[in-house]
Amino acid sequence: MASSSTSPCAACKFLRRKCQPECVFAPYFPPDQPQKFANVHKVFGASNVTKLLNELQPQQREDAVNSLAYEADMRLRDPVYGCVGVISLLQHQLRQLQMDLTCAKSELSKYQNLGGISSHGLIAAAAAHHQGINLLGGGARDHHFHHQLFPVNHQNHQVIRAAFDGGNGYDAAGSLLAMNMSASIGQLSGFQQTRAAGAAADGRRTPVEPS
Amino acid sequence: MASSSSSNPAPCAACKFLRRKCVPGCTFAPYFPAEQPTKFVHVHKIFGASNVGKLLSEIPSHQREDAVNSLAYEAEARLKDPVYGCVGAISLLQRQVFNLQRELDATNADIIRYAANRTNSNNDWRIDSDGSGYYYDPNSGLFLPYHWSSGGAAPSERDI
Repeated sequence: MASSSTSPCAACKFLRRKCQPECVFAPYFPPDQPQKFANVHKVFGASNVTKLLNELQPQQREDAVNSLAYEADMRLRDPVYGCVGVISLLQHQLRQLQMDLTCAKSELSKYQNLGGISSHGLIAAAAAHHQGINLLGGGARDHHFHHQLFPVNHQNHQVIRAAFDGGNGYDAAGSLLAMNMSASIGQLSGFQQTRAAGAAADGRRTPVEPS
Repeated sequence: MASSSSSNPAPCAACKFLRRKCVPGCTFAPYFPAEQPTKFVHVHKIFGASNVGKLLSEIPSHQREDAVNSLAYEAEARLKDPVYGCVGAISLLQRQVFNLQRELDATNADIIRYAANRTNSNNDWRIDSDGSGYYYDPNSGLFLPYHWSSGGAAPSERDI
């Protein structure tokens, strides 16, 4: 009779089955994080996760599970847009910052070259756009801009700092912090631009070109 | 197979894939048209038809199209990048926003210094590169920290 000193992993506990020594979920769903598996199971399903993990190298599985957990968490917080809402928000912030930076640099160059031009209005405008990154902000309740998706530049592996609170009993943010990420989102075929729940902030609609 | 009667509409992409009869009130039919078969295939592969059905049933009908399209986007992203999916894009965007914000803050700080120094024609006060302000005290002949003065607002707020 095998000893029962090892407690079942969160997955097997949730699925009410015996946690075998070779359980594929055990390394990634520890028993002290029950919500993590519950979320992933609700959004993706245990069998889909198993298939996904089996197609990956063992060293990739932890990052994959953590990204799935993050996606599941976002989808449960915002059932309509999930992670896509976060992407839209970040793209919107990026556009605003780029515009602000262009204006600020133009103003600075005037000071440096010509001088004598007041910039208090510019600084006030830039300060108004200075907002923290809140990936959990609003969800389906607070979309005041179009969900415009356009290609993101490809970048090599980087450790990314996520400034949000994962909540739900486990540190999704911390898991995200630990990941080395490569981003390769490009143009998606057949994806139609989603409509915002509220009014657009800038009124522009940038269609996503099919690949 | 199906009758050739014109009263039977073509099955939606979901029912075609699942090999079942596409009934008139089919949950998937409005969002998975027959001419976009891969959309449902990809969503089903990542999320599963029953999970998608449950999710849609919990969402108001006017938001279901957006929900399906965001699921399709996430599914495509996960198929392209099985390890990180669309979370990779989020990380990249966060990094870009962080860097741009830092650059904007630095540029604004430069503008403030230029503006402040331009109004400081009598050299009554100065702002150092770390942002600290000092005022000239004629009694001591020294530049003292600005918060020692009784003037109130810092030069950047008062004079710009």
